[in-house]
Amino acid sequence: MKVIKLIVFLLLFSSAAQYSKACSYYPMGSDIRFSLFSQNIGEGTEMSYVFYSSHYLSGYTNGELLGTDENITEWYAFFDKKIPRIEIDQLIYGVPYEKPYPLLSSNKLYKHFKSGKNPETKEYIHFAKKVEYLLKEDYWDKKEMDIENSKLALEVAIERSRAAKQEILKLRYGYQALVLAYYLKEHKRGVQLYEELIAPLNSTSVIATWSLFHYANMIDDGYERWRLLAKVFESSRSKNHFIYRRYPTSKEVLNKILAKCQSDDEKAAVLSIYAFKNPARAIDQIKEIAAINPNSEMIDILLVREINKMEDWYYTDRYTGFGKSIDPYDGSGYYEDFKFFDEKNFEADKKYLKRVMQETKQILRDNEIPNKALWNTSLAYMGYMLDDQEETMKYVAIAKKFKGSKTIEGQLKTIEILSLVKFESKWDEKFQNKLLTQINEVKNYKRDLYDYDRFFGQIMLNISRKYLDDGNMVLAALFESQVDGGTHEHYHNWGDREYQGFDLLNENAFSKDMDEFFEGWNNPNKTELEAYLYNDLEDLKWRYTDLWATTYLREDNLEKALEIYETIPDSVWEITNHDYHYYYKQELNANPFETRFATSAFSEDRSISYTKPDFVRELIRLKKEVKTNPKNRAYNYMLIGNAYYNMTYNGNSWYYTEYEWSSNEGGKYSDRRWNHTNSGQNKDYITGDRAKKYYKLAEETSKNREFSAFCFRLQYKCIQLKATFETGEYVRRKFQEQFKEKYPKHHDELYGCDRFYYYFDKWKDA
Amino acid sequence: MKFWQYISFFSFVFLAVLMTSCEVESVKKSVYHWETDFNLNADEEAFLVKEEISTIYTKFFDVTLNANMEAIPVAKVNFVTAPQQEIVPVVYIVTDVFKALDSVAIKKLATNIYEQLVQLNPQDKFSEIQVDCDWMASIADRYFYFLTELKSLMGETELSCTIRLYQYKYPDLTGVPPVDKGALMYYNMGEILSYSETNSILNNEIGEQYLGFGEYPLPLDFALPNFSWSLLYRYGEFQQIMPNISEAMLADSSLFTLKENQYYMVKKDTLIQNVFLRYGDEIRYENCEESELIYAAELLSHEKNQNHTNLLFYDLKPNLVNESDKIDRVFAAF
Repeated sequence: MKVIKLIVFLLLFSSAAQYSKACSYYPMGSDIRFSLFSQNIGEGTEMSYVFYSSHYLSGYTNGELLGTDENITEWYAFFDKKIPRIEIDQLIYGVPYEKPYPLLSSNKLYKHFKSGKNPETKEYIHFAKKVEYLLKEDYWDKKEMDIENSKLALEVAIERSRAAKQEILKLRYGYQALVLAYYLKEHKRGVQLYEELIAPLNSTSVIATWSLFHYANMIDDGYERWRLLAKVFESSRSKNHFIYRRYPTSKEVLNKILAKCQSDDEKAAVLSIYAFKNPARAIDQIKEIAAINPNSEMIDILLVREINKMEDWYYTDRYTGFGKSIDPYDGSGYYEDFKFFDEKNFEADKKYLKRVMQETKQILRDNEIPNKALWNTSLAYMGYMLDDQEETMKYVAIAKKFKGSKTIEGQLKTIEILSLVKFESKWDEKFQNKLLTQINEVKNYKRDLYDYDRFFGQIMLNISRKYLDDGNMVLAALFESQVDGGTHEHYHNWGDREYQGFDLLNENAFSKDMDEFFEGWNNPNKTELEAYLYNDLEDLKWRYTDLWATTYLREDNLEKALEIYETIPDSVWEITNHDYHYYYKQELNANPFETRFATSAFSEDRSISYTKPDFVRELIRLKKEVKTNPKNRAYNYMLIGNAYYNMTYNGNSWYYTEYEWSSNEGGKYSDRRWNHTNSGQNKDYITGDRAKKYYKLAEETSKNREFSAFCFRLQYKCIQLKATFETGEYVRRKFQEQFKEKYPKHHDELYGCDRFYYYFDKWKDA
Repeated sequence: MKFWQYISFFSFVFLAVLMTSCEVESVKKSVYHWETDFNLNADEEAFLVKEEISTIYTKFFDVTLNANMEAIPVAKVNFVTAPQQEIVPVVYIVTDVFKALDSVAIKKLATNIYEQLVQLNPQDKFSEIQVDCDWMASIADRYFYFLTELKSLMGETELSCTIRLYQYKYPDLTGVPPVDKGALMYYNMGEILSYSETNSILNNEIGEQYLGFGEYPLPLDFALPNFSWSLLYRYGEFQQIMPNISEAMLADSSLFTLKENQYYMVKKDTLIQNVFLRYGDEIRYENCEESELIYAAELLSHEKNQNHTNLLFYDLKPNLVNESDKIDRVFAAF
């Protein structure tokens, strides 16, 4: 009983696992968005939170410490670039206020101060660290803000700001005063302090921007606050996330904020935040911003974001397999509807993509866009998306004329690879060498392209899908095995990316594809690219060989299957630690020739089991036997039928032809996307047609009427299986009627299992 | 013994039995409060008084992992209004916390949580603390160790934890948490991701499968839902929850059309509540029908295993407040 409960529990958990895969781990949102246009190409890595495909859910973060970076940059300039940034960072942020400075005895800035230089600056840094300490609260509220000492510090900051001779220290002490006033909730005073200590300085320092941020948060006028925060958003990166998250979204509020703006630049800053918050089509907003402030860095980032959106709408579902339930095999009847909407939306997206491309050209013509390399690279990529080779290459060439960033260079290399594969795919040595060279060149931009490992993985995925669409399983699998870096897609394997190629072949390849795959693998004169692609697969060679043989078994070519199985060392079938995904010993533990009515797993005969070659050998022997020896012919036909039946979804030995089994297949919750027989090369797995054929031969050959009836009953199992996946209930009911008609005396008795052994034993008279 | 003495004795026994059986019937109504701001308006206050709800199970904070794999509290409750009812703090802990922490860190977490609860508590003391964590067999040991450590800090205060339906049905496989009592969560039982699901919040067809398997080894309270949400599907694939799309909004025929399968289909690309809805997208509106809630209450009434049971409603939001009569009828069915 406990065992049954455990099985039920595990089944429950397996379905729960599917649920949790979707709920907790199922990749969604920005985590699965497919992107080959590097999100940081607008040079806004520090704004990765507004990137459309930030991959935030997969743990990829970028630009988290911008406040410190901006501050360190200012100090670096202050010390005439003589003290390395890292040493400044170490002293200012690396050592907490409460720890003594001697810990930094080898730090250059520490030594600089120790030698008596810049004593006022030293004092300021010490003071700033103290303020940070006073205001600090820990996660669990074990240390609260020190209010009393903060009040004292506020007075000190004001006094020192007023007294400081250097403007930078005036500003910085003033800033500390604002921060303290803000956290002490002395907002009115804070506003006055800003007007007295900060505003008159007219500083362009980031500290002035940070001061404006605190000032804006202390004033009463809400629309004015948003106007000022938009200015901060435009000129500093460290406070942007905070501003972005809280910025209002309603049009009514937008108009009121715009009415407060005092220049086009300010309006552009406000509009850009609204545009960043738009998950839909935003080209009109980009146009509007470009028209009033073409110099805004924000439009660069917005353009990249727009392309990333279109990539998502265009590619994500098609490349990753996530996001759609469009599957003609799901049996739900919704397929046609989903397909219709998908096609309509794709048309709409394509139309929009063309419009964005036109508008981008227009903006470039009408405005003095500073980053021409970026805008032309964008046009090249949109041309690529629209399958327009001429436009792609034209804009690649134009973009190269401008001095772009390293990221733009890397992006152009990427477009060249993608274009090569899309437009010039001839798998000859010249093509391969060119492709390998370009792949290696992209690797030089590891530090520049956003989330590079994933980016590179998606290039490989793009190439793999191109060949999959072309029906070239070999290349599709080889490039699929290169997909890495957290790219979530249909064949993604957490443990071994090399296994992804296996999964792709398992789902799509026929024996002829596997022949070709191994022909390439065993070729002693591989090209450099072929060697590169096959090299990583060596450890999984027997697993792939097993699949090769299994494609023949699926196609019922037993002799060829056996020939290949026999090349695999016997030890492989005996492995129990699941090395290289070898589950044979565990899964092939039931007698595949067992006769049974039940379709559940509980009646398995574990007294006999086979390895794959042994099983196929025995099946071949039985097939010869029925042809050459009339003795026990009906029984042997039945055994052959059993072997085929047990290889089906309902059989006790499904692992002979499949590598995964899910309780969710068939019926109401059918999800055939997860079934690994999509190409139809293992159709028998869900139809049981071969088993039915042999059960029928057993029925017809039998000389005993009761055994014939028994074999007819066995055919009913196959009908049941097929009804689950394909034909539906009608065929099952019809077969039941035939059964009653053909074997009226035995029909009732053979439905249950009570008389199973009685009828089974009749094989001796058959 | 004389006759009248027999009469007196049996009368006493009868009365004692009667008094004992009266005690069995005690059921209390409570609610969950799951918002970060505890800011009850007059309607909510009036609802609590009318329904004689004296206890509010209030989520104080969530515990999650930061980038350094430290357990930290997030979304701490902010008591804007002073609660007039007894507050039972609830802490939601994501399961990853117990996957990541070792025993030393777990012990520290128990202390941190307890001290934080005391610090945030707007009242003098707690009579109960509740922990909400969807534990599974693989982390049961760590989670139970945490509960034991937390309990050791709490003195007389009762420790309770939430129990999901599968934990309830398979106590021998998921373990029984070392707490004073459990709260069986009878909601969120369906498959939110499944296009063929009819109601992922409350589906008695599914819920029934987890009940009636014998007495759970802990005294139990029960929690029922009364909330609604909309779920967005694209080509049959779940996209996201849209909590603020109401049925009334879906009635806008310029944007949506109600299909035979009860999905609202989006008629044109549109931006709504900052979500880009595409042509053909479908929205499934889910709520808790009174008849289903009453049936659920009846089902759960057979699972009662203590004298003083709490029936908790999730959660204290406007639709609960406006459905006082419905709540009364559900409560009566329990």
